[in-house]
Amino acid sequence: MQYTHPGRSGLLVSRLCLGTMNFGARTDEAESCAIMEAALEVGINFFDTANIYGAYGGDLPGYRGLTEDIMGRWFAQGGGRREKVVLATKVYNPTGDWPNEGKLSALHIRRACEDSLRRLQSDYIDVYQVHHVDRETPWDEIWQAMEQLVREGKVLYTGSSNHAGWHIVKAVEAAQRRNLLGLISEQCKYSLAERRVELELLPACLDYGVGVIPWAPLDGGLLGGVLRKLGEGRRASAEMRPRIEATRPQLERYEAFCGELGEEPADVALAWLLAQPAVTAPIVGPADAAQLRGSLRSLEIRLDEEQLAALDEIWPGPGGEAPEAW
Amino acid sequence: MQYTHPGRSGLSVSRLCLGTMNFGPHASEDDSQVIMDRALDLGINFFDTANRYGLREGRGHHGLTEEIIGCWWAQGGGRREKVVLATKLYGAMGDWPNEGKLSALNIRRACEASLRRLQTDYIDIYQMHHVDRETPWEEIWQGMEQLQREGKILYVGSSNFAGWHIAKAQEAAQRRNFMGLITEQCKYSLNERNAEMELLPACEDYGVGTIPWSPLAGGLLGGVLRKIEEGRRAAAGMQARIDALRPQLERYESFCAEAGEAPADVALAWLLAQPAVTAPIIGPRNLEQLEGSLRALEIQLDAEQLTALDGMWPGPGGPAPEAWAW
Repeated sequence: MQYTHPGRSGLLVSRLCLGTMNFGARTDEAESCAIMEAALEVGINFFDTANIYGAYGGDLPGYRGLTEDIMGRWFAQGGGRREKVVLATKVYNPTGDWPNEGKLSALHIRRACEDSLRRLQSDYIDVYQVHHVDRETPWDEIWQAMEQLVREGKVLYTGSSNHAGWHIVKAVEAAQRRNLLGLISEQCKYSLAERRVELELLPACLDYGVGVIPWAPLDGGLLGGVLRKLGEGRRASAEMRPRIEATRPQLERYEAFCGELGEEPADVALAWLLAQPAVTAPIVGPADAAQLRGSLRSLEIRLDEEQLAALDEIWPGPGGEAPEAW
Repeated sequence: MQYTHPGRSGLSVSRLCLGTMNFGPHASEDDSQVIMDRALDLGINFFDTANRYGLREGRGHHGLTEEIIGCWWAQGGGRREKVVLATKLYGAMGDWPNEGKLSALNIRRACEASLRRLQTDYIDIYQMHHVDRETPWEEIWQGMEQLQREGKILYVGSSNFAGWHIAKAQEAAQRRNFMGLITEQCKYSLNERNAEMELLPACEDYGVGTIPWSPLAGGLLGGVLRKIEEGRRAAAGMQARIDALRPQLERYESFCAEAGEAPADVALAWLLAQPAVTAPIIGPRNLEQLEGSLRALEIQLDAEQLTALDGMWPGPGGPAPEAWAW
């Protein structure tokens, strides 16, 4: 396995991050545990979850928090499971409908962290991430609450998710004023098919030493060979169909390009992300252990300049960084 | 005339900013003086220039525009005192090292040269014409602070920055107890709305007023189809853009006709309706154009009309990260 530092931090994480959003409602507990076992076997030490995962993405009975419960029961089996993992979870989304059961008030940060620790059966969270920018809470409040968790030993690092570039600047500058390490990672929607973060977010993260963790690296399956799968008789979901139609010419060129290369479209999409300097580790969300093992291939694909140029042509970015992009 | 404060500052500027980029190469010195005199008559007190203005398409020389403004001021009669003058530095004024960019050295020398050409003791808003990724903010602010202490400048502004550059600049200025930026001049129009993702939200958050340049997208929004029908010829570069946007332009020009307004005035009125905007830059070549643009200040677009314009000229989908994530 290849490891890297998220941003400027000293932490080492695998270059693929295990996403657990399917654990619970879509992947049952036994399979979820098998995936986590397989992850450790292949050297994946970076696991991402969120306090609200467990209720969506599938038909199994689930609830908000089930994913952390499943991980907690797996950690409780011992055998170094917890110690081998860099565990990232998140706070922000509503856990109930009472006031302060969501967002980033100092009150909710304290309670959400306690709840996550209980479910995870762990004393501490390695990377505690704010799941979304909260425009109604000042950074002094957020950092005061996070500092307290760090001092209590409940949190080691903090990260963000779904922030704009200028939010990152504001957050890290506010942290520096407090002599707090601040953000070490930002989890953002980024893939060949969604490159707008190249305008501001990625340059800001590189400048401030914040590692980027792309979510939806296959853009919901669009980049996973969707046309070939349809050809093989699989059905696309109702929300996917219009997107496939809108990008069909690009998808055709993309899948042909991957076919020529002799690589799976999903692996090429991950390899392209791994080739971007700002990227720490894309999130893979396997449905089973075999899928997880399959995604390791992406770490071995080295895209040369010509191939990267071809991909830029098929999936054009926003034209570089702002303001030159416009 | 309507006046407003640029960002959080106490300065009062007219809601139209007189752009002087045509003074010299496209408007004679006499015509330029007539335009400036008329601007004061109309209550326009906000003038924008740059050290580089004056050379275009082989006509004039760098610095000519500032010289024209300086000669006009030298006529006295309260001309200098009535104007809030914004000029800029960054672009190369020669090909020797340090004759451009934002080193402390060029900040000092460029300011002295502008003051000499402008025949004045001070610049009201000294703007950086572009982000300089090779000069740290400590150096830029030290250079600007020195000018402010010497009484050579009053305020600082920026131009062609990304949202995160604004945040970084302001945070650095705040650490020094320096006021920092009060304005950002950016490319922004119905046809070019990328600034809505990060730049405008960052400017609003940090109290920086935005001054849109190219508010008519190079003439595209100035009734270009009607003008072509009337026999005017579009420049070669323009023709391709017109062809690419023809359906939108047709809808736009018929919308304006129904509203009984000139397309250029609607484009300016739309900008004036955006909360982040201080004053769009108008670049008249003659008195008729200058006087005509005042109509924009009287157009109040209602919610329905703003929605119709959004339909014709869609923005990026709101601020980041919601524009591409959630």
